[in-house]
Amino acid sequence: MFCRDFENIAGDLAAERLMEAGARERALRHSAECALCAARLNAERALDAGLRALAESDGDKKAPAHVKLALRATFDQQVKVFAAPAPALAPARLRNRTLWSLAAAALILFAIAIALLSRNTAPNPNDMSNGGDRPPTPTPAPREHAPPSVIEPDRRERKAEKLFARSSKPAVKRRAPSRTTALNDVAGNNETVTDYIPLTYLADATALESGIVVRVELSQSAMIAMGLPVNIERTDSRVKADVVVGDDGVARAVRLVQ
Amino acid sequence: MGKTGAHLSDEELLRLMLAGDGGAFDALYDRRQGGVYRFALRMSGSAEIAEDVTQDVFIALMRDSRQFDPARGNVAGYLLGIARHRVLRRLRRERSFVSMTEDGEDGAETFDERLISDADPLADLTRNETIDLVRQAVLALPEHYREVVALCSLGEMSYEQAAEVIGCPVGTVRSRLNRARGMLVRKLGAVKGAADSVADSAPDSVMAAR
Repeated sequence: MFCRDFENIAGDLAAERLMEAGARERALRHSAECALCAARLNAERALDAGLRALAESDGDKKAPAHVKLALRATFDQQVKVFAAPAPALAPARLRNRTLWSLAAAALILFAIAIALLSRNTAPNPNDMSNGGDRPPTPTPAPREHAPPSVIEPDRRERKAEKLFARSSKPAVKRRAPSRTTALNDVAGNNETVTDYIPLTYLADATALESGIVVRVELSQSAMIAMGLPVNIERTDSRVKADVVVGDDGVARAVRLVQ
Repeated sequence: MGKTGAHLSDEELLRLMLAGDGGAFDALYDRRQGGVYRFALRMSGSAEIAEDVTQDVFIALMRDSRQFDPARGNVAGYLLGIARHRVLRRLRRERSFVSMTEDGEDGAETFDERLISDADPLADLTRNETIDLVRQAVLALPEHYREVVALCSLGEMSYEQAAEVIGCPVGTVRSRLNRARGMLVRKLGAVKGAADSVADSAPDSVMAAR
């Protein structure tokens, strides 16, 4: 046996733990021949004596009595809760159900209140006439100041624009999408415009009472989507167009500008 | 159930306890609380922590004992496993134990001088002082070494039982305990004292041969 092997079992040897009889004999023989391993064994035995003394001194230690009393009270309480007869639990269940119902009702009322509040705070077209602090109305832009690259503005934005337009100029009749007006509008400019083309998905384009005209640049694909004629050789180019948008935010007609 | 329940196994007591038998709870508590308390005390060095841990362990037993699987070990190991988790968590939170002073730092006698003597190792020692030294040395061990000492050397558990409590292989327990004992021997100055005494008496040829 080598010293390293001895070190591995010195603790078990000193503590007299069960081990293979042959290994124990070899270890004892080695300790008789090796002074340092004998010293190690002595030290381990001394340590073991110290540990035994510590274990003995602690041997009768236990948790104070009040711990048991508290635990027993908890146990009894738990047993009562789980062992209570069913009829005794029924009222509690009913109370729980009532509480849940009340909570649900309160939640529903809260949701309704929120909905009503949001409706009241939303801009009311009838109250817009004296809204002096509203943002300026995006009036139909003169052609020379038309936004150069507005492409299919978001419908909600247009609705907002429309609402603001109403707030400041409620009675303004936008340029009616009549062909003559449109042609007249551009008479003094170097722009050539087509007639307004009613968008095909509208059943009654003439029902428009008011609205705005927005100058946009359309991609060819957008024109295709609107059912407008497209020059397929110039599909990557953009085309200026005036779009008539009704009060409901729906585009009613479009004309191309060149 | 009888008043003491001494004739029943832990598992039977646990089953009765789950059925609401307060006597079974008492019997199981009386049988196992000491081991839990002492383990927590040896791990923490604090009676307060040991008390709290004991209480926590049995509350956990009331609440979660349906998780106990007899196939994975016995009730005692299950309780000590819970105690181990609680005490380690508590120690990590508090770090309340005190490290042992370095050997000879305060000019006091070293452990080997007290514990090892030519005739009777414990003859000329004050027993309580020795016990205190050993206790402090154990408390100064890193937690994973301390727990194997608390379970195997102080709690007299087998390696297999300790492995079950800790949740590691038996070989790990064995090697940790070996390392822990080596650290304790070094901390307590036992090797030095013993080696010195041997070196003083041994011929040079023996030392050279090693």
